[in-house]
Amino acid sequence: MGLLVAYGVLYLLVAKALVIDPAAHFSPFGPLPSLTLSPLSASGLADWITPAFVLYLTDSIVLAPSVPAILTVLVLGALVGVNGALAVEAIVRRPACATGGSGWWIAAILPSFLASFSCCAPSILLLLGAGAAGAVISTIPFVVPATVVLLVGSLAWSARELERTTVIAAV
Amino acid sequence: MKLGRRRLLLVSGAALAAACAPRVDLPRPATAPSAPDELDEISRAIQSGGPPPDGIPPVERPAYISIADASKQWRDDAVVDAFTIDGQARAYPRLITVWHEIVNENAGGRPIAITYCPLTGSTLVFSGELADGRTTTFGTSGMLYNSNLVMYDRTTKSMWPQLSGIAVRGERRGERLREIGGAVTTTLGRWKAKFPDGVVLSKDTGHARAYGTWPYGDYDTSSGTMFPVRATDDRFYPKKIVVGIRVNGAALAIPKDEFAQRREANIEVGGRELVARYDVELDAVRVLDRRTLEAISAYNVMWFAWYAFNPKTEVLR
Repeated sequence: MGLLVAYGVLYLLVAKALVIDPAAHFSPFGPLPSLTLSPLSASGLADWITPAFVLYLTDSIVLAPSVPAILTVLVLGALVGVNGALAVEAIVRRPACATGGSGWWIAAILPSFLASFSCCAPSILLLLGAGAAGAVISTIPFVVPATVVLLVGSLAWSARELERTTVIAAV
Repeated sequence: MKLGRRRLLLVSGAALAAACAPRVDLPRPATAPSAPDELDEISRAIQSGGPPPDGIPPVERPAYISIADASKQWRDDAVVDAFTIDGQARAYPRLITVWHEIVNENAGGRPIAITYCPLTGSTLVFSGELADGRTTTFGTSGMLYNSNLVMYDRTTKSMWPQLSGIAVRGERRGERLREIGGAVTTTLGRWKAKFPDGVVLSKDTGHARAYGTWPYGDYDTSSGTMFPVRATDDRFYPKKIVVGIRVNGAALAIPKDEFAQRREANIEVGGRELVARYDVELDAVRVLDRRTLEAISAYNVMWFAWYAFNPKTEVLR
C-alpha cells in the first residue's frame, strides 16, 4: 500500500498533475481547499489532458489529474506495489544454499522502475532532446499498455520464481 | 501463478483503447506533389505535439473581471498579453492562456482570436475574417511547426502556423490571416497603472484547469526546444526575447532588452517606413507607421522561433 501511495505521488508529480510550488499563491482565488469538477463525458476516459477535477489544497499545492492519470495511478501503482512486495519476499525467503540467478529479483522489479517513466511525455522529451521528439511522441499511446504488460509479466515470473525458491528451501 | 495469454492481451488492449483520443479530421499533407513548393515543405514538416485537435481547448466565451478584482487574484508581476480594442483595455494573463492557447473573441461584432504559443513565447491577434468574407473561430490542431502552435479554422479546417499566419494545408492554403496590431506583452501591474479601468480575462473559462501553475517548467530559460526547427542561428541565446515585425514579406527582429536603452528608432521594413518606440511604462516595444501612426503588429517572440520562420530576417542593432 505504501508503495502504491509513493508511486502515485511520484507519478502525479512527474506528470505535473500534482504541483507543489512554494512560489504559487492560490489563496486569492477563493477559500481553500477549493474543488472544481470537469463535466463528465465518455471522451474524458481517454483524455489525458483535461483534469477530472482541480483541487486547490493549500496556497502552494494543487491536484489536477485526468481520468486516465487516476486509472493509471491505481492500476500501475497496484502492480508496482505487488511486484515490489514479491521482490522483497523473494529476497527474504531466498535460501542460503541457492545457487545461480542471483539477479533475477532485480529483473523482476525492473518493470516497476520503468513504469515510472510511462506518464509524462514532455519530461521524456526534455531528457532526450529535440531529435527524439517525433519518435517518442509516436510511441506514447503504447507506453502505458506496454508497461501494464511488463508489470503483469514480471508479476507472473516473480511469483513462479518465488514458488521455486520456496520449494528449494523446503527441500 | 499462471496468467493466460488471452488475459494479457485483454489488459493491454483495453489500456491501448483508453490511450487513443477521438479525432477531428484535419487535412493531411499532399502525398505526391508534382512540384513541391515552400508550403509543401512546411506542410510535411508539421508534426504532432501530442494532444488531439482542441485537446488544448480554446476559450470560446471569454468572461472578464475588472482589473481591480484581477489584482486581488494575480500578482503585479503576472505576465499578461494586452491590447485596447473597442475602446476597452483588455489583458490576458498567461497563467490562464497557457492552458488554452487561443481565446476566440468578438471585437466590434467581428471575430478575432488572441493566440499564444508557450513553446515560442509569442502572442498574436488575428482577425477571424477570411479573404472570401467568411468568418471563423480557431482551434488548436495539436500539431506544431518549428515548435510553434498550428491553429485550424473551424470554417474550412485549414491549418495555420501561428508565426506565419499562412495556411499550409486545406482550402485556404496560401492565404494569410490578417494580424491585428497594437498588442503588447507586459505585466498586470504595469497595465493596471496605465489602464486602471481595464478588464482582465476571468478564470471562469468553462474549463477546469490548474490556473496559476505553469506546466512548462524552466522551458522559457533552458536552451533546448522540445521539437525540431528547420533553421537555427547562434547570434542570440535561443530563448532570448526579440520583437518581431514582418511587413510585405520582409522581417526585422528587435532585441528587446537592448532596445530598452535606445528607446526609439526609425526603421524601414518591406518598404514601409515605421517607428519603433520603447514604452517605459509597459516595458514593451510598440511599432507604428511613421506616416499614419497606425499600430503595426509587433510581438515578443523567442529568437530561435523567429529565425526558424524568418531565416532572412534582419536584426536591428
